[in-house]
Amino acid sequence: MKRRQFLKQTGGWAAGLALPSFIPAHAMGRGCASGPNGRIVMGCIGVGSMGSGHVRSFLGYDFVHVAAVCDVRREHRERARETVNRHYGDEGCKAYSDFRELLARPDIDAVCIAVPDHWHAIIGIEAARRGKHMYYEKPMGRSIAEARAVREAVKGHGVVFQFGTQQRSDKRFRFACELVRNGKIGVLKTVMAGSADYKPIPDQPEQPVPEGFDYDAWLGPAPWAPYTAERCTRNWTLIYDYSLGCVSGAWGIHHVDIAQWAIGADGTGPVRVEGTGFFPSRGLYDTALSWEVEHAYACGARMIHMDMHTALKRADQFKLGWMGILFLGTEGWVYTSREFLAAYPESLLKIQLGASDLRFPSGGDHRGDFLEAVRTGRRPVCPVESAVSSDTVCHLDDIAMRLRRPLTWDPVRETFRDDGEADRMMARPMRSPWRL
Amino acid sequence: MIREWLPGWIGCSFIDERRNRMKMRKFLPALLLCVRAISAAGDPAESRIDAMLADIARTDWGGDRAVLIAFSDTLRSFHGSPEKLAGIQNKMTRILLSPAPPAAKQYICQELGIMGDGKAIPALTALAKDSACFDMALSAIERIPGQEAEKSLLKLLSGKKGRMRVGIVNALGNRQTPGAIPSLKKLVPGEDPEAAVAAVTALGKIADDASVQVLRKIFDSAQEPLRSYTAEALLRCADRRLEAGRMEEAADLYRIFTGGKEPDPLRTAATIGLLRSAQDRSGLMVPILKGDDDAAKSAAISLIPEFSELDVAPVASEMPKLSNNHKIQMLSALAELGKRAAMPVILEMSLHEDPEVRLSALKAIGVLGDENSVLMLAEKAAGSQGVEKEAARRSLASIPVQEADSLILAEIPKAGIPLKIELIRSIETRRMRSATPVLIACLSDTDKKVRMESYRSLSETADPEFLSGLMEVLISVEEEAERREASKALAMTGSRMDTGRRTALLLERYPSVKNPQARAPMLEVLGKWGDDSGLPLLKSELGSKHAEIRTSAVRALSDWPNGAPMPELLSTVKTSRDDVNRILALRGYIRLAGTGERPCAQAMQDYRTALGLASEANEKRQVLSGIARLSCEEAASMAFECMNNPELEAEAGAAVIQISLNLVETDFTGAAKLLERLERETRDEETKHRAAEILERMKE
Repeated sequence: MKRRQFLKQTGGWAAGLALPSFIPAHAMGRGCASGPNGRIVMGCIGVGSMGSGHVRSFLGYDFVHVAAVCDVRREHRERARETVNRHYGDEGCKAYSDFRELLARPDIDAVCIAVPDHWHAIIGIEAARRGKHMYYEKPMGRSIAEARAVREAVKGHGVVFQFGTQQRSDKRFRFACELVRNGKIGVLKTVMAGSADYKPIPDQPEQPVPEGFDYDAWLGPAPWAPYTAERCTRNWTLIYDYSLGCVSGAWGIHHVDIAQWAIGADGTGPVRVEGTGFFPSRGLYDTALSWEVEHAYACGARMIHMDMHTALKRADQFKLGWMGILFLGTEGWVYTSREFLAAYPESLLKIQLGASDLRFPSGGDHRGDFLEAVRTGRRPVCPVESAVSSDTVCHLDDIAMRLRRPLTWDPVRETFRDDGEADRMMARPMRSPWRL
Repeated sequence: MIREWLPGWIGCSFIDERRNRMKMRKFLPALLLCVRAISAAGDPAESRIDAMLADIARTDWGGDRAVLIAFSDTLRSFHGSPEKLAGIQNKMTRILLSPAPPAAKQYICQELGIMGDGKAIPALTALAKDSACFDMALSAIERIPGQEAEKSLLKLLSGKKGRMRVGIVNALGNRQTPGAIPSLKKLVPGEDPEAAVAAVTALGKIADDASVQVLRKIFDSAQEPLRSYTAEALLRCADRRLEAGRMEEAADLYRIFTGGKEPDPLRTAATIGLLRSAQDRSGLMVPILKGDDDAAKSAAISLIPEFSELDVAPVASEMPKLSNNHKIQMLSALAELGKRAAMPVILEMSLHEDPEVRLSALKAIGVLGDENSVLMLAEKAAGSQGVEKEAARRSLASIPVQEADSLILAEIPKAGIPLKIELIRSIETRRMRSATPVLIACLSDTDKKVRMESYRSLSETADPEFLSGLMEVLISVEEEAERREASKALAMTGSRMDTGRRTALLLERYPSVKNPQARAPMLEVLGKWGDDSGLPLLKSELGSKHAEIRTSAVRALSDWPNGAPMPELLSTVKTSRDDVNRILALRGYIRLAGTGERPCAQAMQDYRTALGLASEANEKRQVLSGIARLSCEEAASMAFECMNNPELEAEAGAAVIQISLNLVETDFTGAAKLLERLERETRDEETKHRAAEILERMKE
């Protein structure tokens, strides 16, 4: 079955059309709940390119009041403050350079954390300590230890946590996982996740730190490195000191999270991991440029996480739609990406699951799901337990690639078996004075 | 030296044997030394490592990382060879003490942190004395297990101040070093508040009995902010005891913070811990729910889903006395816990005066309900409006028991109209496959709404075995709206069965149907199915004497899944005297031009033909929409041509954009050129902006 026919049948085509980034409150079907009892007061920490998008989205809910923004770059926080004040028609939004001041405000109920990855865990733990619910951009942090520390803090303080893996609120991914979990492709044998890759850039010269930018604060717990503008763009995620690149924060975590969901491995993980990766020897970005890592799960399924170009060589389905996930079962397969859904046999796409089938929350609005969890206390679609288990898989990828040998993982005890070096790589020391 | 010496030795005379023996004795040690030197210099692995380390020692920021990658790989290859690694480690530590750039030392520290042992500690400790290299050295020491690292940290602690001292304290905490407790104690309260906070946090990570003792003492007298960090540390100690199964000790610590004077987050955390450590959780939860500490109540309720063994009844019975917010929270929590024992209270809440509470209760019933909840939900759906109606319907759709299906089917014949409609609707939402006979019976109901709802449910759920019966329904129905629903039901049911058989059944029945108004929808069903065996009939009915049959034939062919009917549709466009049919045929032709895997050139020929025949802007826009799926220059050229027509400018621009995106993978440069041309030529601002945006991203 060829691409166009699939496209026709799924009723969509890979047109790169922008989808609305929020569903207004009145469309959520809950009615407006403005007023002191129903209102959620929010602060947004990290208001650069992604964070400012979150600010605009949260402003769209009339039961949310964005009261504060925070960023180490003056231009970012001032711009975000203006956006908020323009929306409300007042000067009520306050801008902070230090997240601790924002979190210390007792009037703030919830925060959106969209800072560089190496800051995620420290801010998340402080937010939990202050009793703030959080919409927490992926990934969890720079290490397995950071992810676990956030989980402890969230569970210990009983706050609502929504991981920014919004594909769980996407109908295509949800349907694909429902088909898999309900056995519609038979027994799941293999999941193949084709993540992004990136274009390296040349070595960058050291530059003077711009006025209004607290570079030391931006670096925070990460090792010192000379300032260059490119280091601090949103592509920081491609630099190992701050993240794992396309293996995790730059894309991989999205598909790994869906793979875990489909396998039924939330809260647990694989038992063995082995793979290879290619790391560029020049240029500012030093995370894996291409990789192929295989995970074996106790249930018998395996998951292969790859960059996009490797995936294109491994299975034809990846040619149907850019950067997707393929679920191969004993009786069929399903392939899905953000704009595409295909299956064999095609009749799988027409299946309508009923009351006796396993169904995932219908969602559609990831931020809205978080807000409803804050309002009602119900579990969000990406709680901290599944966030940590998915995030951990990405770290297992990276550690296995760097150590260049098969690793055995105990998903219950969350340690490696008989590999002291791998155990040491579960945590990354922080630059003084920062700590978890 | 060797080369100079050997020939002489070989060439020496043996005439005086004794003299020669003395010569040999004299030179043998030197000879042995030389042999050894030869073999050492000749060991390729060793010299490679030395060469790499020499390169590493010259590494600076922004340089070539190839040697670093190669060296790391080399280290990995020696995993499991401790002697080998020991030798290499020795050489690595020399770099730390050399004038190598900080970047080189940072790399060495990172690797020592992964593979190093106690023997690396002296060099790392020396490095830590250089403030520029302090953090990199500390990060390695922190990761290396063993006493040497701990001793080093304690020694460094005494000599450092400020942020470096805090860093060392953090490292001691991360290592959970009990031996550090006396040193940490000295920092609290101390003259450095940051160090004091770091120290209590570290004590919280060490978390042994001695730490707890120290922390409790500090807590009794500390002021903010130290007090709250100390509290956090004690909570951490409590959590560790909880994990280890030392419940009483954990509870003892949690109880310190459950008093009313502590801040909400602290009381919440303590309540959570206390409940997790409790034997009788509901026994502990009920008094909290009865109390007046809202934060503690929220905390307790949030834990309900976690306690699978919870005695739900006494907890749920507190719900009526809670605030509405807490009621909502508890309803969610009970639903997540999944125990039906809470149902009586949940049902009571479904009648609450507050709509949000009712909504939450309805959602909970959708998870916990059984067949006994069916009528209540259906009545609620029938009798309410807006979000509550939707919530009741969703819950009716999701009650997770098979018996609910049987009850629904049993109740339909007896129910009044509004209730009947909701029950019929639930057949669709519950995907009940066994309901076809009941639904077909409902098609004879005197109420039109019941019939219409039944058609809709049949569309989604009808068993294909009843296809012939549905066909008879379609043939016999008289009212137009019902005929449309019946047609849809037949088409959708047929789509769930074997392709050959469905069309064969229809073709067999068709000749005996005399009423053109009944024949017409049958033809449209053939179009929805798209089976080749249906084509001949459809083609012949293009010439029917009945207008509605001709139109239905055009519609059906326009719906075809491939381009097979294109010639007939083109002929209809050119020759039909019926305007409606000409437009329908043209639209169908354009649509079918986009089906199948036809080469671009062939598709473009069809699109050109269609564009030539299109007189209305809508059809021309449809052509543009079709060519937008292609990825050839000809398609882009056609789109640019259409840009001259003001009615089509926006759509033409959108088509160029889409064609460019289609081209990106195979012809990146070509795609960029198209966008650049579009940006230059379009007068539509939004199109210009979009093209510029994409070009910007492509440059990245």
